[in-house]
Amino acid sequence: MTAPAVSEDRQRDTPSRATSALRPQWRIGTKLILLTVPIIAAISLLAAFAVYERNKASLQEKLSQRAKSLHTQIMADRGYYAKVIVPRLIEMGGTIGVDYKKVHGRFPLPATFVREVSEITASHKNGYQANLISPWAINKDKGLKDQFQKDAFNYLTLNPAGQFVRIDTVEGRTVMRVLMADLASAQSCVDCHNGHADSPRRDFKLNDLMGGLEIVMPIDQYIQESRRELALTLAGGAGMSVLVLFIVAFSTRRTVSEPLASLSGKMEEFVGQRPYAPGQAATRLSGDEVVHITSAFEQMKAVIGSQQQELREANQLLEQRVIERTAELRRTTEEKERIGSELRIASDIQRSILPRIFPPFPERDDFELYAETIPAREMGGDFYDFFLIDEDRLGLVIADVSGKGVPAAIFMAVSRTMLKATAMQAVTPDECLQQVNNLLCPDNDSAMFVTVFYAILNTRTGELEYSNAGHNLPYLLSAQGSVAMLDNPGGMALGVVQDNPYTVRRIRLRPGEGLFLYTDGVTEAMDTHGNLFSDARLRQLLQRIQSGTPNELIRETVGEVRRYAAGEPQADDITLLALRYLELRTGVRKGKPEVVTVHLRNDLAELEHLSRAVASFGEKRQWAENVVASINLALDELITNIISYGYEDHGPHEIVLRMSVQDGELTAELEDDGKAFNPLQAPEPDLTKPIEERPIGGLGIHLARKVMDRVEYRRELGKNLLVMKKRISA
Amino acid sequence: MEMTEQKKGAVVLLALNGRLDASTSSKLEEKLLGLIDHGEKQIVMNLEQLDYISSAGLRVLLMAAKKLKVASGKIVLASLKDQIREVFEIAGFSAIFPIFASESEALRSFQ
Repeated sequence: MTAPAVSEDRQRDTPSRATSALRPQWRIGTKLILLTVPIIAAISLLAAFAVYERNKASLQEKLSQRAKSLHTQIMADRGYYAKVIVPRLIEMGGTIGVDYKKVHGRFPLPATFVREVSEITASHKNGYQANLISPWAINKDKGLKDQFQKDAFNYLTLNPAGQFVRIDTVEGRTVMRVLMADLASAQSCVDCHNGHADSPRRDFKLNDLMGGLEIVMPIDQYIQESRRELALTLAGGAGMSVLVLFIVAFSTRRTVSEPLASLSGKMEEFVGQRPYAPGQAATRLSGDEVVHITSAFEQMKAVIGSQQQELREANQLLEQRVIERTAELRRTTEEKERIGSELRIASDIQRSILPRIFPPFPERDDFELYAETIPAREMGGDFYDFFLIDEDRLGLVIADVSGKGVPAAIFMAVSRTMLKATAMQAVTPDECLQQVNNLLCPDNDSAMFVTVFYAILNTRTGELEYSNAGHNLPYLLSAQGSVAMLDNPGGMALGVVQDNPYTVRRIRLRPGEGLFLYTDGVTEAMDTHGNLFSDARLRQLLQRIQSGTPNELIRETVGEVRRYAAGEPQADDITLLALRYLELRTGVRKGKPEVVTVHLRNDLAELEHLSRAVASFGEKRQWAENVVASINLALDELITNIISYGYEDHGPHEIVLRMSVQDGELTAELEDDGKAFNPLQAPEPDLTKPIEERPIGGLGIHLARKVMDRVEYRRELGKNLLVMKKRISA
Repeated sequence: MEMTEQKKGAVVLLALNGRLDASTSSKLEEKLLGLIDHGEKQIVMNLEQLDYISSAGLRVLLMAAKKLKVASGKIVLASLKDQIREVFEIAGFSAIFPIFASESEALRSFQ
């Protein structure tokens, strides 16, 4: 597919390049020359004629000036002859007349004098002639002869002070003829003309126009000079044109033709990647580069247009995809958020309704009790409960609701409330379960059920009566160190069959004996191979740790289950409740400090709960208010840190606080299942810096360290453990 | 935590009541930033009824102080309870915040 496409491109590419690089190269240059040369020619012609015209004008001006001076000179000469010489000659008996050459004692007329002098000058090289003419001439030959003389004399009769000039041809020579007035400048002239026998006019007065002096100046030599000059100018213009022609040709080749050829070549290459329309290809070979490029542009326009269309379509498709994907993501996210918030709601319900402060009845020293629930990611409906029905009777509940999520949590909340409410009416366990069952059955549309083990311990006698609704049977931890599952009184889970009967069993706990209640999240915890933790393993574990306090029993069990699961996700809630029945009310166990446990959710709103727990712990021990406040501050800072930065998911987590006092020293432990993080590695802030340089944040850990005497961090069994010590002054 | 706001001339008087911790500090943060953005430059914090403060609360006060410093303004504190004062001491905040025994003294500091 690739190979033919390439060869096709080449075939198309080669000729188009050849034509564009060689043949049409001069076309635009030629056009420029064709345009430029006539302009230059016209300009030089105009220039030449302008010079010629200017020369002509100045020549005329010069010659007319010359004519004026000649006129003045000749008039002065004639005047002198007429005023001085002629009267003397007449005094001496002479006469004047035209025929002076034939008659003795006769002298030339002043006009003849002028003409004859002029004939002498005319033979000089410049060939000027002066000639007196008049319609009233005494000499008949000197009348007005040609058209110039008639026109000029007419002009002078109107403008006696003027000068009539005309270029004319006389005897084959180009001449300038100038006529100026001949006035009756002296009385002798007037007298002579008025008195002369041959004079055709005899009424002349002084200063009358008597005729005109014509000066004829040949100008053909000037015309030749001007023409030479003109030819020279024109030759210069032509030379300039040729020069410009070369410059234009050369520079258009460099700056226009070649780049244009290259451009059109490139455009063809570009367009060449797309099929041509045959008609467009034909126009490509005619016309100059501009036509060529225009055609290439047309092709490019078509190509780009179709590409833009394709792009637009692709864009629309992409936008559509983005919109679809966004919607899909939003749906997924909303779904996830919904599930996430459901989980959180479920977890919140579960945690908020279960008693979480241990010991729950600090004033009681006849039993010890500890319970914990560790929700799975998708929470089930486990719960535990304990309550004093009256001073001597302690109710103990452990239960597991079928299903998961919010419905399970709601069903659990309902079951727990009903159970406690019913139990508080001092009924026996079997009656209690039966009543609750009958309450749960009728409206149980969701077909949920709950397994419940419910026992009442008579703390005075140690008697324990219990009933079971389909739950795992607890273990009895005997004083002799044996571990035995309680006998099964039988009974179906609550919420299944209306009016189902339940049975009660009774045993007696001896002081020191314990009871271990749990849900199947413990025994059905799985290792990486899918093997269950099992009843047998739980029993073995309990046998090993059976002498521990309820707190220890539960912590050990949870630890063991976690180790067994080895990081496998927890499939079900794990819920545990342990009880140790002690001696009668005097039987406070010695040697081990009381441990107060507070369970906190990973929610900053729990800080208030913490504050109350710490206050109650301190109050009981009669600590000063500022001591309580500072312990609260340290715990607050560390817990805030855990809640804010400890978790990579947004799911519910539990932070466990244990507080105990031994020999005047408080030990507070914080345990969380967040990511491994040692806050004590945070750098100490520099408290001496001015306000501008103080970093915002990083103070919390500093405060906790300052308040406590010692803070240590450990990572244990996938949990962060912060252990704080503080000596409390009495 | 409760907040009451009063305007005394050019000074904004903000009285806190309750606990100023990580769960309540954002409320104060919003309030103070709002005041500063609005152009308030003189703020008195009356902490007489404040029972508790953690670093989250200190953080908000520090941030407000920084912003006001840039704007040539000032935030001062009045009537700190002993345990609050103690936290200020430990955090080294007594050196960077003007602290007055009473609200009226704090107000006078702006005259």
